[in-house]
Amino acid sequence: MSPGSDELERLISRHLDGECTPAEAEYLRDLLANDRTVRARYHAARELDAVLRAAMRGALGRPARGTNATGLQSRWVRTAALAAAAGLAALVWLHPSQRPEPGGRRTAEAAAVSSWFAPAPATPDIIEPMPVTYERPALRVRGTERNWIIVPGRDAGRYLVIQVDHVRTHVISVHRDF
Amino acid sequence: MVRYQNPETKMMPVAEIPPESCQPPTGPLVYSGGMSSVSIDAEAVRQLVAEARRGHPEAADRLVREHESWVRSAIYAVTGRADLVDDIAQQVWARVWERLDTLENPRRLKAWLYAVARNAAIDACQARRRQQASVGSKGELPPVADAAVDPSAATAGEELRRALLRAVQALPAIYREPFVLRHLEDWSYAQIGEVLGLSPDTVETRLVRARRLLREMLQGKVE
Repeated sequence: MSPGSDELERLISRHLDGECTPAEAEYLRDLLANDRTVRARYHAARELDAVLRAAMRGALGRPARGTNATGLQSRWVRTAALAAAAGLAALVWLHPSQRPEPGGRRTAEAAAVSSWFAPAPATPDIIEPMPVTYERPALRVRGTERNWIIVPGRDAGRYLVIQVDHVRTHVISVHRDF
Repeated sequence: MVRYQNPETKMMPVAEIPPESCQPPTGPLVYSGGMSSVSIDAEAVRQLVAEARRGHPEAADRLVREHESWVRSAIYAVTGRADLVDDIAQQVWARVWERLDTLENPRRLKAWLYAVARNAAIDACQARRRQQASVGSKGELPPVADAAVDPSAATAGEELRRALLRAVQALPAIYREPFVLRHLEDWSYAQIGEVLGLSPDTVETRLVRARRLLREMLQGKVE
């Protein structure tokens, strides 16, 4: 017997969310195999979920990925897969060659270097000659915290230096010939 | 128990949503510590919070790293505005740092963080509405980050993307929050219910209604 519209809507929603019990998944599988209308509704709902997920992930700058409710996968299946993966990871970790050094020194050092609050390590400025077809400016200095555009003046030793950062651009030195 | 105040929000048709509108839930989320168990290592969280409270930068660093992604999703879930997420996330972590001492039970960290994020998002939206009311500014959703090579395809894709995001934005917040958390974080009904203070059945009902509303709003736009 086919379920009512509301019941089917709820069943499809549960399945897309990976919340179906094995019995519910089996019931839905039967419906999909035998009822074209159910199949169309299921695929439309799944498609809408996928495009909405992709749009939201894109809006938050996250890479796109496949839907997590493809086929008749359920949270029960994923739980079993996770358990298997955890067991495998434990076996790998227990191998002598994979054990961390006593005291966890390497881990602590790595954490300190990658700390969110730690100051960024200093890196040297990059000095790039500008293309020959572009007369001025002749040089651009790109630093870790600022970009400078240096335009040589008409007199030797005189420059227009423009400091650029992410927030603002301002001229820090202007000579008369500019 | 986490509870809503004035949770009902009327839905607006997509076409009527001003691009700059920000539709958060109207009331703050009040965290008072009572929740069922959470699927995290409670002792590890307790140690992490204790160290962060003592000012250990590495602990604070881990706290941010482990929770930053879903906190951003939570902000988006509350506001429906992806372009506000970065700014509000900064405010959230500033508040977390200021108020970490008020976290009574570190095992409830996730619910506490959600309440902080939600309240910060609501405050930011209210401030933005006040600002817009005084200035009368208009804006648009941010442009697509990576347009396709084919201009017509890019335009069509952009239009669809905007329609989808507008539809999510147009959802009443009580439906948008579980919908976004489910789709961006893959949280189960139980996990969503824990941070929102709802039963899994209520979460399920709201997800069904969210999908129904989105289907109606996007009818004819998604093949």
